[in-house]
Amino acid sequence: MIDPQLRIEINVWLEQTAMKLNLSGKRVLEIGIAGDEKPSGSYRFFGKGNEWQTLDKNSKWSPDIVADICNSGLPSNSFDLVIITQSLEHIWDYKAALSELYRITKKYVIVDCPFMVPMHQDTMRVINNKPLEWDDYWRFTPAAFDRLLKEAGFEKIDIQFKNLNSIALCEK
Amino acid sequence: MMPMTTLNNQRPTSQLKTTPFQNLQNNTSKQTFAMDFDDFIMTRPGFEYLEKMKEHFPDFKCTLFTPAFNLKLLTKQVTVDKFKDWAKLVNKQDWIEIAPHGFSHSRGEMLETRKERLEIIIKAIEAIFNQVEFNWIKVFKAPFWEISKEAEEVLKERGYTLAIDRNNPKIQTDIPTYVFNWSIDEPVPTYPTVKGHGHMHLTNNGLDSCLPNMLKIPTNSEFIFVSEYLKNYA
Repeated sequence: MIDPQLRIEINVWLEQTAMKLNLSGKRVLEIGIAGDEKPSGSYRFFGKGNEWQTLDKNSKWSPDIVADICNSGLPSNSFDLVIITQSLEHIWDYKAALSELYRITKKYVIVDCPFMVPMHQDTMRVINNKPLEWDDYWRFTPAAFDRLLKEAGFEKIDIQFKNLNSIALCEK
Repeated sequence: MMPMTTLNNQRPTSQLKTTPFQNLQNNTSKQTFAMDFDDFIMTRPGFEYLEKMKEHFPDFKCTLFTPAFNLKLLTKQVTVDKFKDWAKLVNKQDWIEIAPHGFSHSRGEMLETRKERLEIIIKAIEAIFNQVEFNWIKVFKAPFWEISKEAEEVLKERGYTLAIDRNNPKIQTDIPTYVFNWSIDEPVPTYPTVKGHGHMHLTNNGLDSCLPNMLKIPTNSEFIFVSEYLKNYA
Protein backbone atom coordinates (compact mmCIF):
# COMPACT_ATOMS: atom_id res chain seq x y z
CA MET A 1 0.00 0.00 0.00
CA ILE A 2 1.26 3.45 -0.87
CA ASP A 3 1.94 5.64 2.14
CA PRO A 4 -1.05 8.05 2.37
CA GLN A 5 1.25 11.02 2.94
CA LEU A 6 3.24 10.24 -0.21
CA ARG A 7 0.05 9.68 -2.20
CA ILE A 8 -1.31 13.06 -1.08
CA GLU A 9 1.91 14.82 -2.06
CA ILE A 10 1.94 13.11 -5.45
CA ASN A 11 -1.71 13.97 -6.01
CA VAL A 12 -1.17 17.63 -5.14
CA TRP A 13 1.78 17.77 -7.53
CA LEU A 14 -0.24 16.02 -10.25
CA GLU A 15 -3.16 18.39 -9.84
CA GLN A 16 -0.95 21.47 -9.96
CA THR A 17 0.81 20.04 -13.03
CA ALA A 18 -2.55 19.30 -14.65
CA MET A 19 -3.57 22.91 -14.04
CA LYS A 20 -0.31 24.15 -15.49
CA LEU A 21 -0.49 22.01 -18.63
CA ASN A 22 -4.30 22.42 -18.92
CA LEU A 23 -4.59 19.78 -21.58
CA SER A 24 -7.90 19.52 -23.36
CA GLY A 25 -8.93 17.26 -26.21
CA LYS A 26 -5.72 15.30 -25.80
CA ARG A 27 -4.89 11.62 -25.48
CA VAL A 28 -3.73 10.55 -22.05
CA LEU A 29 -2.41 7.14 -21.01
CA GLU A 30 -1.85 5.95 -17.48
CA ILE A 31 0.38 2.97 -16.93
CA GLY A 32 0.44 0.61 -13.98
CA ILE A 33 -3.02 0.72 -12.49
CA ALA A 34 -2.71 -2.07 -9.93
CA GLY A 35 -2.62 -1.34 -6.23
CA ASP A 36 -4.56 0.88 -3.90
CA GLU A 37 -6.65 3.82 -4.99
CA LYS A 38 -6.86 2.24 -8.41
CA PRO A 39 -7.62 2.02 -11.19
CA SER A 40 -5.56 5.09 -11.18
CA GLY A 41 -5.33 7.97 -8.81
CA SER A 42 -3.71 10.05 -11.52
CA TYR A 43 -5.80 10.30 -14.66
CA ARG A 44 -8.62 11.98 -12.78
CA PHE A 45 -6.51 15.13 -12.74
CA PHE A 46 -5.80 14.97 -16.45
CA GLY A 47 -8.87 13.13 -17.71
CA LYS A 48 -11.20 16.09 -17.85
CA GLY A 49 -11.94 16.92 -21.45
CA ASN A 50 -9.38 14.41 -22.64
CA GLU A 51 -9.49 10.95 -24.10
CA TRP A 52 -7.71 8.68 -21.71
CA GLN A 53 -6.79 5.03 -21.45
CA THR A 54 -5.08 2.76 -18.98
CA LEU A 55 -2.38 0.19 -19.54
CA ASP A 56 -1.21 -2.65 -17.34
CA LYS A 57 0.54 -5.90 -18.08
CA ASN A 58 -1.85 -7.78 -15.85
CA SER A 59 -5.33 -8.23 -17.33
CA LYS A 60 -6.82 -8.83 -13.89
CA TRP A 61 -6.88 -5.06 -13.28
CA SER A 62 -9.00 -4.64 -16.42
CA PRO A 63 -6.91 -1.98 -18.14
CA ASP A 64 -7.91 -0.70 -21.55
CA ILE A 65 -4.64 -2.01 -22.95
CA VAL A 66 -2.87 -5.13 -21.71
CA ALA A 67 0.83 -4.69 -22.45
CA ASP A 68 4.31 -4.63 -21.00
CA ILE A 69 5.60 -1.06 -20.95
CA CYS A 70 9.09 -2.28 -21.78
CA ASN A 71 7.79 -3.28 -25.21
CA SER A 72 4.21 -2.13 -25.57
CA GLY A 73 3.74 -2.47 -29.30
CA LEU A 74 1.84 0.83 -29.28
CA PRO A 75 2.48 3.23 -32.16
CA SER A 76 5.08 5.95 -31.63
CA ASN A 77 3.83 9.37 -30.52
CA SER A 78 0.39 7.95 -29.80
CA PHE A 79 -0.38 9.86 -26.58
CA ASP A 80 -0.01 13.51 -25.65
CA LEU A 81 0.67 12.61 -22.03
CA VAL A 82 1.76 9.34 -20.47
CA ILE A 83 1.59 8.97 -16.68
CA ILE A 84 3.31 6.29 -14.67
CA THR A 85 3.55 6.74 -10.91
CA GLN A 86 4.72 4.45 -8.12
CA SER A 87 5.60 1.80 -10.67
CA LEU A 88 9.08 2.32 -12.12
CA GLU A 89 10.80 0.72 -9.14
CA HIS A 90 8.90 -2.48 -9.93
CA ILE A 91 10.14 -2.74 -13.52
CA TRP A 92 13.31 -4.79 -13.92
CA ASP A 93 14.35 -3.27 -17.26
CA TYR A 94 13.70 0.35 -16.27
CA LYS A 95 15.84 1.71 -19.11
CA ALA A 96 13.69 -0.09 -21.66
CA ALA A 97 10.59 1.26 -19.94
CA LEU A 98 11.87 4.85 -20.02
CA SER A 99 12.80 4.53 -23.69
CA GLU A 100 9.36 3.14 -24.45
CA LEU A 101 7.73 6.02 -22.59
CA TYR A 102 9.74 8.44 -24.71
CA ARG A 103 8.73 6.62 -27.87
CA ILE A 104 4.97 6.41 -27.27
CA THR A 105 4.46 9.95 -26.00
CA LYS A 106 3.99 12.83 -28.35
CA LYS A 107 4.97 15.42 -25.77
CA TYR A 108 4.76 14.77 -22.02
CA VAL A 109 5.60 12.00 -19.60
CA ILE A 110 5.04 12.05 -15.86
CA VAL A 111 7.08 9.47 -14.02
CA ASP A 112 8.32 9.07 -10.48
CA CYS A 113 10.62 6.85 -8.46
CA PRO A 114 11.45 6.50 -4.78
CA PHE A 115 14.75 6.95 -2.99
CA MET A 116 15.58 5.40 0.40
CA VAL A 117 12.02 4.15 0.76
CA PRO A 118 11.45 0.81 2.51
CA MET A 119 11.12 -2.26 0.32
CA HIS A 120 7.50 -2.82 -0.60
CA GLN A 121 7.41 -5.96 -2.70
CA ASP A 122 5.03 -8.78 -2.00
CA THR A 123 7.05 -10.29 0.85
CA MET A 124 4.67 -13.20 1.29
CA ARG A 125 5.80 -14.41 -2.09
CA VAL A 126 9.34 -14.78 -0.82
CA ILE A 127 8.19 -16.78 2.16
CA ASN A 128 5.72 -19.00 0.41
CA ASN A 129 7.21 -19.03 -3.08
CA LYS A 130 3.93 -17.84 -4.53
CA PRO A 131 3.74 -16.63 -8.13
CA LEU A 132 5.12 -13.13 -8.54
CA GLU A 133 2.62 -10.30 -8.28
CA TRP A 134 5.16 -7.51 -8.35
CA ASP A 135 8.63 -7.10 -7.03
CA ASP A 136 10.51 -4.10 -5.76
CA TYR A 137 13.85 -3.64 -7.54
CA TRP A 138 15.12 -0.08 -7.72
CA ARG A 139 15.80 3.21 -5.98
CA PHE A 140 17.25 6.31 -7.67
CA THR A 141 18.65 9.56 -6.40
CA PRO A 142 17.15 12.63 -8.11
CA ALA A 143 20.46 13.08 -9.95
CA ALA A 144 20.43 9.51 -11.27
CA PHE A 145 16.79 9.85 -12.22
CA ASP A 146 17.49 13.06 -14.12
CA ARG A 147 20.34 11.40 -15.99
CA LEU A 148 18.26 8.32 -16.86
CA LEU A 149 15.50 10.52 -18.25
CA LYS A 150 17.98 12.48 -20.33
CA GLU A 151 19.48 9.26 -21.65
CA ALA A 152 15.98 8.12 -22.60
CA GLY A 153 15.81 11.21 -24.82
CA PHE A 154 13.84 13.79 -22.90
CA GLU A 155 15.03 17.32 -23.44
CA LYS A 156 13.15 19.17 -20.74
CA ILE A 157 12.92 17.58 -17.31
CA ASP A 158 11.42 19.15 -14.21
CA ILE A 159 11.95 17.03 -11.09
CA GLN A 160 10.45 17.62 -7.68
CA PHE A 161 12.08 15.67 -4.85
CA LYS A 162 9.89 15.48 -1.79
CA ASN A 163 9.22 12.88 0.87
CA LEU A 164 12.00 10.69 -0.57
CA ASN A 165 10.31 10.54 -3.95
CA SER A 166 11.33 12.10 -7.25
CA ILE A 167 8.51 12.98 -9.58
CA ALA A 168 9.28 14.35 -13.01
CA LEU A 169 7.44 16.16 -15.73
CA CYS A 170 9.35 15.32 -18.90
CA GLU A 171 8.91 16.96 -22.26
CA LYS A 172 10.05 15.70 -25.61
CA MET B 1 9.40 -11.36 -30.28
CA MET B 2 5.96 -9.88 -30.77
CA PRO B 3 4.88 -7.67 -27.93
CA MET B 4 2.00 -8.91 -25.82
CA THR B 5 -0.42 -6.15 -26.63
CA THR B 6 -4.14 -6.76 -26.66
CA LEU B 7 -7.12 -4.54 -26.29
CA ASN B 8 -9.21 -5.54 -23.36
CA ASN B 9 -12.55 -6.47 -24.86
CA GLN B 10 -14.33 -6.62 -21.55
CA ARG B 11 -14.36 -2.85 -21.16
CA PRO B 12 -14.82 -0.89 -24.39
CA THR B 13 -13.03 2.43 -24.15
CA SER B 14 -16.16 4.35 -25.00
CA GLN B 15 -17.86 3.05 -21.87
CA LEU B 16 -15.01 3.48 -19.47
CA LYS B 17 -14.85 5.65 -16.39
CA THR B 18 -16.16 8.76 -18.03
CA THR B 19 -19.03 9.58 -15.70
CA PRO B 20 -17.42 12.35 -13.62
CA PHE B 21 -16.28 14.16 -16.72
CA GLN B 22 -19.24 13.73 -19.02
CA ASN B 23 -20.71 17.16 -18.50
CA LEU B 24 -17.32 18.76 -18.94
CA GLN B 25 -16.60 16.89 -22.14
CA ASN B 26 -19.75 18.35 -23.66
CA ASN B 27 -18.52 21.87 -23.09
CA THR B 28 -14.90 21.94 -22.02
CA SER B 29 -14.71 25.73 -22.11
CA LYS B 30 -17.13 26.10 -19.21
CA GLN B 31 -15.35 26.00 -15.89
CA THR B 32 -16.61 24.71 -12.59
CA PHE B 33 -15.62 26.41 -9.35
CA ALA B 34 -15.96 24.94 -5.87
CA MET B 35 -15.18 27.92 -3.68
CA ASP B 36 -14.44 27.79 0.02
CA PHE B 37 -13.67 30.55 2.48
CA ASP B 38 -12.32 30.24 5.98
CA ASP B 39 -13.26 32.02 9.18
CA PHE B 40 -16.90 32.78 8.62
CA ILE B 41 -17.55 34.30 12.04
CA MET B 42 -20.31 36.48 13.39
CA THR B 43 -19.05 40.04 13.99
CA ARG B 44 -16.18 39.60 11.55
CA PRO B 45 -16.32 41.28 8.12
CA GLY B 46 -16.29 39.53 4.79
CA PHE B 47 -19.87 38.63 4.04
CA GLU B 48 -20.38 41.84 2.10
CA TYR B 49 -17.80 40.61 -0.42
CA LEU B 50 -19.69 37.38 -0.88
CA GLU B 51 -22.82 39.41 -1.55
CA LYS B 52 -20.92 41.30 -4.23
CA MET B 53 -19.92 37.96 -5.74
CA LYS B 54 -23.55 36.90 -5.68
CA GLU B 55 -24.55 40.11 -7.44
CA HIS B 56 -21.91 39.58 -10.11
CA PHE B 57 -22.49 35.84 -10.49
CA PRO B 58 -26.18 35.08 -9.88
CA ASP B 59 -25.44 31.35 -9.61
CA PHE B 60 -22.60 31.86 -7.14
CA LYS B 61 -22.45 29.48 -4.23
CA CYS B 62 -19.74 28.68 -1.74
CA THR B 63 -18.74 26.64 1.28
CA LEU B 64 -17.82 28.57 4.41
CA PHE B 65 -15.55 27.01 7.02
CA THR B 66 -17.03 28.18 10.27
CA PRO B 67 -15.88 27.84 13.86
CA ALA B 68 -18.74 26.46 15.93
CA PHE B 69 -18.55 29.27 18.38
CA ASN B 70 -16.06 31.94 19.18
CA LEU B 71 -15.98 32.15 22.94
CA LYS B 72 -14.23 35.49 22.76
CA LEU B 73 -17.41 36.95 21.31
CA LEU B 74 -19.51 36.15 24.34
CA THR B 75 -20.03 39.56 25.80
CA LYS B 76 -23.00 41.55 26.95
CA GLN B 77 -23.39 42.85 23.42
CA VAL B 78 -22.94 39.54 21.63
CA THR B 79 -25.09 36.93 23.27
CA VAL B 80 -25.99 33.37 22.44
CA ASP B 81 -29.37 34.63 21.26
CA LYS B 82 -27.69 36.99 18.84
CA PHE B 83 -25.64 34.07 17.56
CA LYS B 84 -28.84 32.17 16.93
CA ASP B 85 -30.32 35.17 15.12
CA TRP B 86 -27.22 35.37 12.96
CA ALA B 87 -27.50 31.68 12.17
CA LYS B 88 -31.11 32.18 11.09
CA LEU B 89 -29.97 34.84 8.63
CA VAL B 90 -27.25 32.54 7.33
CA ASN B 91 -29.75 29.74 6.87
CA LYS B 92 -31.84 31.90 4.58
CA GLN B 93 -28.99 31.97 2.06
CA ASP B 94 -29.37 28.79 0.02
CA TRP B 95 -26.16 29.57 -1.80
CA ILE B 96 -24.13 29.03 1.36
CA GLU B 97 -22.96 25.74 2.76
CA ILE B 98 -21.32 25.55 6.18
CA ALA B 99 -18.40 23.29 7.14
CA PRO B 100 -16.78 23.01 10.57
CA HIS B 101 -13.58 24.93 11.20
CA GLY B 102 -12.83 23.86 14.75
CA PHE B 103 -14.76 24.69 17.88
CA SER B 104 -13.52 28.14 18.77
CA HIS B 105 -10.68 28.59 16.28
CA SER B 106 -8.16 28.54 19.10
CA ARG B 107 -4.54 27.84 18.35
CA GLY B 108 -3.81 24.14 18.82
CA GLU B 109 -7.33 23.07 19.75
CA MET B 110 -7.16 20.19 17.28
CA LEU B 111 -3.67 19.22 18.41
CA GLU B 112 -5.31 17.56 21.39
CA THR B 113 -4.31 13.89 21.54
CA ARG B 114 -6.83 12.51 24.03
CA LYS B 115 -9.49 10.92 21.89
CA GLU B 116 -12.18 11.22 24.53
CA ARG B 117 -11.68 14.98 24.64
CA LEU B 118 -11.62 15.18 20.87
CA GLU B 119 -14.93 13.32 20.75
CA ILE B 120 -16.38 15.92 23.11
CA ILE B 121 -15.09 18.80 20.98
CA ILE B 122 -16.35 17.38 17.71
CA LYS B 123 -19.70 16.34 19.14
CA ALA B 124 -20.09 19.85 20.56
CA ILE B 125 -19.45 21.35 17.12
CA GLU B 126 -22.02 19.03 15.59
CA ALA B 127 -24.54 19.82 18.33
CA ILE B 128 -24.20 23.57 17.80
CA PHE B 129 -24.47 23.30 14.02
CA ASN B 130 -27.53 21.08 14.38
CA GLN B 131 -29.16 23.32 16.97
CA VAL B 132 -28.92 26.38 14.78
CA GLU B 133 -29.94 24.25 11.79
CA PHE B 134 -27.00 25.13 9.60
CA ASN B 135 -26.86 23.53 6.17
CA TRP B 136 -23.55 21.89 7.08
CA ILE B 137 -21.35 19.16 5.73
CA LYS B 138 -18.86 16.75 7.25
CA VAL B 139 -15.77 18.33 5.77
CA PHE B 140 -13.50 19.49 8.56
CA LYS B 141 -10.76 22.07 8.33
CA ALA B 142 -8.59 22.45 11.41
CA PRO B 143 -7.84 26.00 12.53
CA PHE B 144 -4.36 26.97 11.27
CA TRP B 145 -4.28 23.52 9.58
CA GLU B 146 -3.06 22.15 12.91
CA ILE B 147 -4.36 18.69 13.70
CA SER B 148 -3.18 15.63 15.63
CA LYS B 149 -3.24 12.07 14.37
CA GLU B 150 -5.80 11.25 17.03
CA ALA B 151 -8.06 14.06 15.84
CA GLU B 152 -7.84 12.70 12.30
CA GLU B 153 -8.79 9.28 13.64
CA VAL B 154 -11.82 10.62 15.49
CA LEU B 155 -12.93 12.61 12.46
CA LYS B 156 -12.54 9.59 10.22
CA GLU B 157 -14.54 7.43 12.61
CA ARG B 158 -17.29 10.03 12.52
CA GLY B 159 -17.38 10.07 8.71
CA TYR B 160 -15.55 13.29 7.97
CA THR B 161 -13.41 14.36 5.04
CA LEU B 162 -10.40 16.44 6.10
CA ALA B 163 -9.60 19.63 4.22
CA ILE B 164 -5.83 20.00 4.04
CA ASP B 165 -3.40 22.66 2.91
CA ARG B 166 -2.27 22.42 -0.70
CA ASN B 167 0.96 24.18 0.24
CA ASN B 168 1.75 21.76 3.03
CA PRO B 169 -0.30 18.66 2.33
CA LYS B 170 0.14 16.57 5.46
CA ILE B 171 -1.94 13.70 6.71
CA GLN B 172 -1.21 11.13 9.37
CA THR B 173 -3.98 8.65 8.64
CA ASP B 174 -5.91 7.46 5.62
CA ILE B 175 -8.81 9.83 6.25
CA PRO B 176 -10.42 11.05 2.99
CA THR B 177 -9.10 14.47 2.03
CA TYR B 178 -10.13 17.61 0.20
CA VAL B 179 -7.32 19.78 -1.16
CA PHE B 180 -7.89 23.17 -2.76
CA ASN B 181 -6.06 23.82 -6.01
CA TRP B 182 -6.39 27.58 -6.32
CA SER B 183 -5.75 30.30 -3.80
CA ILE B 184 -7.81 33.35 -4.74
CA ASP B 185 -4.81 35.67 -4.70
CA GLU B 186 -3.38 33.75 -7.67
CA PRO B 187 -4.35 34.30 -11.32
CA VAL B 188 -7.68 32.66 -12.13
CA PRO B 189 -6.89 29.22 -13.56
CA THR B 190 -8.25 28.04 -16.86
CA TYR B 191 -8.37 24.46 -15.58
CA PRO B 192 -11.84 22.86 -15.98
CA THR B 193 -12.56 22.17 -12.31
CA VAL B 194 -11.19 24.65 -9.82
CA LYS B 195 -11.23 24.21 -6.06
CA GLY B 196 -10.77 27.76 -4.90
CA HIS B 197 -9.82 28.78 -1.40
CA GLY B 198 -9.62 32.05 0.46
CA HIS B 199 -10.48 33.76 3.72
CA MET B 200 -13.42 35.95 4.60
CA HIS B 201 -11.14 38.74 5.67
CA LEU B 202 -7.44 39.59 5.97
CA THR B 203 -4.55 37.18 5.20
CA ASN B 204 -2.96 36.98 1.75
CA ASN B 205 -6.10 35.55 0.23
CA GLY B 206 -8.77 37.46 2.08
CA LEU B 207 -11.86 38.47 0.16
CA ASP B 208 -11.22 42.11 1.09
CA SER B 209 -8.08 42.18 -1.04
CA CYS B 210 -8.91 39.46 -3.59
CA LEU B 211 -12.43 40.39 -4.66
CA PRO B 212 -11.21 42.12 -7.85
CA ASN B 213 -9.37 38.93 -8.78
CA MET B 214 -12.43 36.81 -8.03
CA LEU B 215 -14.47 38.96 -10.40
CA LYS B 216 -12.18 37.80 -13.22
CA ILE B 217 -13.76 34.34 -13.04
CA PRO B 218 -15.51 33.80 -16.38
CA THR B 219 -19.16 34.76 -16.07
CA ASN B 220 -20.39 31.53 -17.66
CA SER B 221 -18.75 29.47 -14.94
CA GLU B 222 -20.65 26.99 -12.86
CA PHE B 223 -20.38 27.18 -9.08
CA ILE B 224 -20.74 24.17 -6.85
CA PHE B 225 -20.48 23.46 -3.14
CA VAL B 226 -17.53 21.50 -1.80
CA SER B 227 -20.03 18.75 -0.97
CA GLU B 228 -21.05 18.63 -4.64
CA TYR B 229 -17.43 18.44 -5.69
CA LEU B 230 -16.83 15.52 -3.37
CA LYS B 231 -19.94 13.77 -4.57
CA ASN B 232 -19.60 14.27 -8.30
CA TYR B 233 -16.03 15.19 -9.17
CA ALA B 234 -13.59 13.67 -6.67
